[in-house]
Amino acid sequence: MDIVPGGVLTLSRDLRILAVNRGISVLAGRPTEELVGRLFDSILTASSRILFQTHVYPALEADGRVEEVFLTMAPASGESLPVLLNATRTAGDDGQVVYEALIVRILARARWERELLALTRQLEEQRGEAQRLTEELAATADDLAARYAEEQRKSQLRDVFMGVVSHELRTPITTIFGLSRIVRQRLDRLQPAELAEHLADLEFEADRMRRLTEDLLVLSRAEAGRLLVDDEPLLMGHLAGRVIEAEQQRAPSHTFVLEMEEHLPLVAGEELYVEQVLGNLLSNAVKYSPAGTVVTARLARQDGGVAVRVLDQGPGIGEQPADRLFEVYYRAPEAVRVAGGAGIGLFVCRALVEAMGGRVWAAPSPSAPGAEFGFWLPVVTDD
Amino acid sequence: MQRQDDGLARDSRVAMLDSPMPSPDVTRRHAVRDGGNPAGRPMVFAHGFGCDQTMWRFVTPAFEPDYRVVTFDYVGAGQSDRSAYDPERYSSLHGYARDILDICRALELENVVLVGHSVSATVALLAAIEDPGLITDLILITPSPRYLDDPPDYRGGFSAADIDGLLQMMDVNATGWAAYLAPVVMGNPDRPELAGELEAAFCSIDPVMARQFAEVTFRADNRPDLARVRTPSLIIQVTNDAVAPMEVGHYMHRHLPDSSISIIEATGHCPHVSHPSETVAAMRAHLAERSERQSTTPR
Repeated sequence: MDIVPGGVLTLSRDLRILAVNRGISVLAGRPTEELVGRLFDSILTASSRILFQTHVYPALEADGRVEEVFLTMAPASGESLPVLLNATRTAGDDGQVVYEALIVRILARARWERELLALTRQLEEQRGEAQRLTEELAATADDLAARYAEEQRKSQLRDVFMGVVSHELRTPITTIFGLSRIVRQRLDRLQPAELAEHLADLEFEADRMRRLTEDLLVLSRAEAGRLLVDDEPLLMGHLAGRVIEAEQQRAPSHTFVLEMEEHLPLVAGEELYVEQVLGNLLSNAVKYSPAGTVVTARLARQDGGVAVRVLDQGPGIGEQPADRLFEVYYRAPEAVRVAGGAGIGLFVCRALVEAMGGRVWAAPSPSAPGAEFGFWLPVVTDD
Repeated sequence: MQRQDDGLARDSRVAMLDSPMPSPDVTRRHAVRDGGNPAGRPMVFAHGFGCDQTMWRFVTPAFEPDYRVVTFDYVGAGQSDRSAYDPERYSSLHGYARDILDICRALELENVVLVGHSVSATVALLAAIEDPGLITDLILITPSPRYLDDPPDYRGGFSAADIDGLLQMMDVNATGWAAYLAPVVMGNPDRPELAGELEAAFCSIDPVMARQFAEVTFRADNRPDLARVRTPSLIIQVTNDAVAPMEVGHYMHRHLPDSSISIIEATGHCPHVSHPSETVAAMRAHLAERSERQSTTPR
């Protein structure tokens, strides 16, 4: 046994060293007589004692053997020594349980393993880093795509603005400019009826500009996320009566009818904005239905609020999805054919109504042909 | 089912569960073995760091005629569902305490004797603090509330450098046992038979789990929790234990309310493995005394 290149030990049931070869005394840096009688774990480092007591010993006892366990010994010299331990549980000469253990020094292997471990760690870190970078890259790409989409949307919006400014505002300005010049140049030659007609036209065009300006203002606020509304209690019936009266004056070509349930509850909204919404819907109805037809505004209690439906007798909304009508860039093919326009009126309606906690919709008129454009606002609450 | 009179305690338990698991999931996750006498009082055994539920097999047969005997593996140990390992949950001993409570609730246990070895003695204390209505007796085998020295007044037995050394050694053991452990570490799906071989071994532990468990265990300081325990306990201390020295056992006994201590003349940290009959005798004597006390004095 003494020529075995490694330590051989016999341990008692309570892990005291019973017998050793010379190899172990070399590894432990202690004479054999100093080793016999000692507790086995006293020649281990403190760290190895924990591993030995918590893992190696129970495994040895349960399984009858352990193999290739890496431990560190604490030789008398002080420098800790990496070793591998194999042990089996067996019966000694007197029939008592003993453990036979074999310990091999693994200095060179331990060094390589340490390096291998360090390399593995490094690789894992690099892999983690690579993963992190990939994720970061993907996030950046998503971010860029989102920004691109946002920029594109803004650019489309600018186009809408430009369209409105260059076409929709220019037309009334041209008319206003032309008519004012005529009135000024021919003031003394104009018949009172002619003058009245020119002034009415001037008023009409100025009013169109005012509306467009109001819509543009809402559009730009909504786009900037700064569309703030008050929710005051509103009497929808009074408001609708007022707006319809004004609209009737503007569009004598159509007949306006107001139908409403009695005792409608107060709704929550901002008066000027609700007027703007209803005004837009009514002037749309006029724009897209033939002269001489009826435009109906129908007010009814619905789902804890009040629904306002504007019904016309025009060609209806056609096949396209009703929701698209409320998009800012969208103009229905039918609409383009029938009338000019900026295509912002319905978008503005939706932005305003939603900001006031309501909803908008478009549908074929219940008494077809014709279209129904409606909005709903909630009943005012106490808080 | 829970008793009617512990509604309050039950509510607070429900509140601490972030995701109550259905019982088959819990029992599978922890490879729960539920044996012994089904009508007996439940006795739950929680294994310590470095091993799995197989370490209880020398003592459990003694209790099987009278007790409902429940053993289990922590996630990462033994036959547990290693895929359920959650480094976040197990970043403190409270995660392990939740495991024990999860198991007790999944099996609808009441009036539980909870037996914890080594660090699981601390885990058992945390579980008992969390739910004193459920855990009504504690058996703490070679416990230690803190393994690190805290000079000048407290000697846990180890220095911070010793623990660093342990962690390094566990890493090396993980690479040294690469043939076994690499598939587990790397989660290599091509060689499942190797992981199977590892799981079949006794006291097998996943190295990733073992490393974190070691860190959490040996760097924990649960001394302040001792005074919060309301459940009566028995401390089983070994005269010559390199991991939990005698003075630690006495410290526990001094600071743990309503605790008894029983000292086994032996060497080692696992008396339930090395000296099962002495361990069983100490547990039996304590439980007999407890039930006598309960029947003579109203609680």
